[in-house]
Amino acid sequence: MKGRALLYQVGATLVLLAVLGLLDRFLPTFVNQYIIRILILSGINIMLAVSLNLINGFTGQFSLGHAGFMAIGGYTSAFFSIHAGPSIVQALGQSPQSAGAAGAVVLILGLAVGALCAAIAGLIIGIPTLRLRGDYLAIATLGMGEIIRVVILNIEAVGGARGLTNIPGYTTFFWVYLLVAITVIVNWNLVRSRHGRALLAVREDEVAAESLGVPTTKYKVLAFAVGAAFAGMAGSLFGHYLRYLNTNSFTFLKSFEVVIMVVLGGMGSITGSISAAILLTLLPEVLRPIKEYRMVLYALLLILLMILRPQGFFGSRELRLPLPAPWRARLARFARWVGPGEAGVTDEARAAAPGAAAVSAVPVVSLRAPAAGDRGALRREILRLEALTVAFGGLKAVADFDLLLRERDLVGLIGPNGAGKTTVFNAITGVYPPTAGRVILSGKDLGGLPPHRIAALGVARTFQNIRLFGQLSVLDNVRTACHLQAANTAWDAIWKTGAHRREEARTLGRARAMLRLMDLARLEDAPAAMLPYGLQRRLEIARALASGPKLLLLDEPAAGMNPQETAELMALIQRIRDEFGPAVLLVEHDMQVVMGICERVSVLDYGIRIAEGTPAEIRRHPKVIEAYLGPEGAAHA
Amino acid sequence: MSRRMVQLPATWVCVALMATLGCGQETLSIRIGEFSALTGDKATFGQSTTRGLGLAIDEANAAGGVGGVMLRLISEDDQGKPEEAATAVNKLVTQDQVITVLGEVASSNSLAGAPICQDNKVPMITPSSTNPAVTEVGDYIFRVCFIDPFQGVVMARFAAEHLGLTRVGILRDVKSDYSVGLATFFAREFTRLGGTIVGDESYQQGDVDFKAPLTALITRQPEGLFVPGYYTEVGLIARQARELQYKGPLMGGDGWDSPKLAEIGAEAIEGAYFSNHYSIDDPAPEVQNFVQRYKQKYGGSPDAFAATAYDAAALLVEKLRAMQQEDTQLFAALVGGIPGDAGGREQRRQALARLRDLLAGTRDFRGVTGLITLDAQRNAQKPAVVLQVSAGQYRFVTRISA
Amino acid sequence: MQELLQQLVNGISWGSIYSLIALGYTMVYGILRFINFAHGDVYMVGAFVAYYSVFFLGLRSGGVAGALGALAVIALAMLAAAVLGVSIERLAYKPVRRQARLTALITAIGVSLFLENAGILAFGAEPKFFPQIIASKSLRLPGGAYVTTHQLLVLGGSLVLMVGLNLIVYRTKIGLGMRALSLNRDVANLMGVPTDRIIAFTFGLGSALAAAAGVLVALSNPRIDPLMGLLPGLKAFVAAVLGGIGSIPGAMVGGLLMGIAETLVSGYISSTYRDAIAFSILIVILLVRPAGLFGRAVTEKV
Repeated sequence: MKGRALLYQVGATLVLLAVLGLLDRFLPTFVNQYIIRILILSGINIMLAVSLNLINGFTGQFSLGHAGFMAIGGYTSAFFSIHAGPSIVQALGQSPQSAGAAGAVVLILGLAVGALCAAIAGLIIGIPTLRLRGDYLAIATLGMGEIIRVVILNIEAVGGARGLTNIPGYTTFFWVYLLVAITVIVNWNLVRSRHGRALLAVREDEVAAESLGVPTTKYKVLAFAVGAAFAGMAGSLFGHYLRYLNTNSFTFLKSFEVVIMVVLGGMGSITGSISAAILLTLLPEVLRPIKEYRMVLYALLLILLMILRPQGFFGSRELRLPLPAPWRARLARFARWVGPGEAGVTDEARAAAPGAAAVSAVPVVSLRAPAAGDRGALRREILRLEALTVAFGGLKAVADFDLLLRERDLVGLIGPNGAGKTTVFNAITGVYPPTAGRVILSGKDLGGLPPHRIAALGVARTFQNIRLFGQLSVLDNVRTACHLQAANTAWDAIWKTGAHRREEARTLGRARAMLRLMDLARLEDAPAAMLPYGLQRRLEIARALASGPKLLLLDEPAAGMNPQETAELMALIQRIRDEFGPAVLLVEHDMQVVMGICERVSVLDYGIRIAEGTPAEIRRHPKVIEAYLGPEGAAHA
Repeated sequence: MSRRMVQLPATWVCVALMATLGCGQETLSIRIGEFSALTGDKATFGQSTTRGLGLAIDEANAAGGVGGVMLRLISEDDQGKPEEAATAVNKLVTQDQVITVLGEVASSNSLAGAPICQDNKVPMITPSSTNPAVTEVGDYIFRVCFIDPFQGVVMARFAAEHLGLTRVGILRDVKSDYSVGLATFFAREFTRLGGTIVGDESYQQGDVDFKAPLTALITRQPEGLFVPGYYTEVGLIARQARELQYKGPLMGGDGWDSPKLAEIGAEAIEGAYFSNHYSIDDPAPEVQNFVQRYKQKYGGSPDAFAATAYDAAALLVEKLRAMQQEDTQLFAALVGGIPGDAGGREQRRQALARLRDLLAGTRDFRGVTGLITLDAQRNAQKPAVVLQVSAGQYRFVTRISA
Repeated sequence: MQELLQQLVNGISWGSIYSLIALGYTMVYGILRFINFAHGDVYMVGAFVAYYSVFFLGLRSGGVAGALGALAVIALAMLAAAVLGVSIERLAYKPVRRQARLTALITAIGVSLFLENAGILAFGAEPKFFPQIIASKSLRLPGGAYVTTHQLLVLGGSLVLMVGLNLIVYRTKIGLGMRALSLNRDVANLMGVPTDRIIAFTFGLGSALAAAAGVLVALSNPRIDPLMGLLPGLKAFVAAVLGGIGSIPGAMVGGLLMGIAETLVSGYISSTYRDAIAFSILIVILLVRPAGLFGRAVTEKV
């Protein structure tokens, strides 16, 4: 297998290089320089659009400062070529005037310099600004782009206001389209990996992503840096083509142009970005006769697009070529090994026997059937809350709360509205730090850890208001949860190494098994937001479970369910506890559920525990009755 | 009528139409290209340039063209942006197949377009880009105006010798390489002549409020202020300087040249001085004739950009005529587009090289903007004039040569 | 000392313009949680409407006639802008009101680009110069600084408008509706507050203020061009964030602070970094105190 993949990959690369080389050599005989110019500018725009799509479309971070990264890449690489270039060329034995192959070497080094500097800028800019959301992030990135431009304008060494002249013209059709191919393949492979799913999760719901162990800030910064690096390379190619750089080419209007390309193509669609980039490079040339109206038409187009079809050409899906089925299958098979395409998803894996897959879906906690005498001191302590206090300003939402859960415990947490139940969950999962007291998981104090670290230690939860990744498929929602259990790096993903493909196959198997278990398998391709409410809840539970937790927190899972669904849920929760063995803490209002399956119940009122015991004890407890029904109600009960 | 009988002629008509649309260009003219900012915020410069060029070309055609062949001016808009300038020049040279490119006003746009002309060995003449780097791109790039170092020196000398100033403050437009260049050369020469630059502040093109940098300068009590920017800001700068109680003289460069300057500046700009390529008052017959003809054709008065553009085109026409007289066959290679055969293309290359040589040898060309001689760097050696704003007019004060 | 004073005068004068524009931003954001990118361009439209009105009405400069003329032009510009603002809201923003925030933001960018480029088509790209219908005189202040009649006009005009706005928002029924909507739109709607009408009114009001700012600027710094609103618009947004977006006193204070900061940096450090200052302030504020000076911090319920 490994051998065949390598053969395909090397073969495809050679074919690509050959095709590009031939085009580079022979295209000028068929078309004039003007057309070639348009092709080269299209290629640069494709790189810009695809790289911005990674940030805006896939990670959902609306950046309006992309031109800044392009500028950094362009100026740094041009500076390098002008100052270090001649010595390199001479060292390779050629004259600077007609540098040929040596020129290519300088260009490659220049591209690396540009990409690196732009990526560093992406990191520096990303780390502070990525704490912001939505509109604020957009404006902050816009501002950053302008600051970059103003700073460059003031650096005399790169020409300042006069611009940077005499940049050697090393950019050719070959290099532009080779880099376009690299950009597309890298982004495509990255997105179709667990890292890509992490990015999508960040886009869909950051809180839920964190709760599954995805370090959201790290991924946002990663997307920013990678997107910036490619924009930087686009800038390098631009500078070495125009042979002159001026900051006027990198204003926020340029950033807007790239944003329009991404939006038009569809945020989240790489083929969309490619198509839109080509279209919007051609359009100004075609519209030359009516050039005064061009920008007005663009603006109207943008407004109409948002009103009528905000998802652009392809939305978040890719272009599907109208090929007959057998050819499509062959293409898909080829693509899997070489570049685009799902890694390692062979037809055999698709038809895998449930048994085999179920085994591979064994989560971290071992499968043990409960034996009658199994409850006792031998069970390990999972969660201990010691005098947990969470205060917001002067208000104590939770005060002095103690709780102990062991493996396989099924404990309920109840109380009137506003009692502080969800706050307890939030304190355990790290959304709010405890104001006082401790949260201890298997002996480890969780104080101050961020949610994704806590999730990595084996805590999973569902949310009061369902937080699914709406735009992602049912299958992908669950696959995202397997993030923690895989270890392949982004590098593996880009190169589609064997490790990557094996990991993807494992993840797919695990996710499918989970869906089968939860009876959601037939819906695996449906977008999660389209599911009926009851199934959404079930999916959220499936997702939480897929991360293999030892502590499962369920926040009002029965909310909005009818009695039939509630009964099914109760059976499901017990089965989960029996088969997978986590400790389960359940917040619920529905007394049928609480009394039906919980072995122990803790009652909160105004943040204080007022009772704890078996369901039967709680039902008769005077303080509990008073809390729910009030003093008069208690008198009548 | 049978279907086929209808279809066949219709097809031929369509093909014929497409052929004409595709070609779109008749072959019997000499194609001259022009790129300028016809849209964008520098549009007045582009419009003036196009008009000046247009006048010269029209006059040449009215006199029977060159050797009986008409001249055709093809204009492309670059929106005032460097990358658009490059695309426009690319189109002119490769698609429209012109024999010379005229343009641009802004040096940054000239710098973007020049490499393409140089690579394709097509001569380019810029009428008013003053950044020295433009002609440094290669030996096919020419300019018919002076360069920033010279202009800066002119005003420095004027300030020191004519006005007797010893302390001057500079307010430069940091977004314009023209302004930055002029300011730098002014400062250098002025200090060399013994003066002091008391302050060097900046603003950006498009600003409307200059009180902050002006305040910083005026506090240092300069005797004069040098503001080498564009008329669009200078008028306001003058007013605000007066509002801040600055009473001394204001000085600038050819970017001031526009009737709007006096309009906005009103009393504030009254009495200010600026260097320019030509003066509309110049009694020389060529100048006055030019002004008359321009007014007749276009209505308004020509500014310096129109005048230099006129000279650039007129110079080209003269050299074309010279070539036609010297070698008719070689000249014929310049007519129409690039020939398809290798022999024809070689002829064309040689013809362009000859044209380049003729241009490089320009001596004492009597232009509207003065006697033009091109030096070894293909820049024009000519004196500058200093004008003074007086009652809304720009009056000639003195002429300064190198 | 005199220099500092003069720079402060310059800064306050310019800052009051930012305040006027910022008010429009803050009101719309308060109710719709939406940054109206096109707001700066309404400022530009106001200036141009005034410009053409001057010619249309045949106004001449100086004295009382000039002052009355100025008032007339301001009123016309405000009216035109209000109509424009309401139209934009109805045609472009209402259809995307229920969509993702990003969609609305992109629509706003589209409207902004449209106004700018339609302006270039309609008015021409080169700058126009506003006739001086109010003469400029410099008055000496104690301390040696000079303030011009124009600067006083700008400051005075801004104050009058801000007081007027305060009256509307805190003393009228429609103002009450605006405040209700900004606190909880859906509930206000359920309570019978005519949401659509109030949103339209808010846009109209904000646009009128921006247009007034545009005319005041045109009267004193007479260069106008179709792209003049871009940068002041962005900076006014920063001012609104600085003051606390959604807070009216915040917008006023934020604008003044922005103006002063910019002027001081321009004068004492370098004018080239002036634009960078605005954005740097934005980033610092968003990181250190996102609610701004007067705003309320909004936490997300998990």
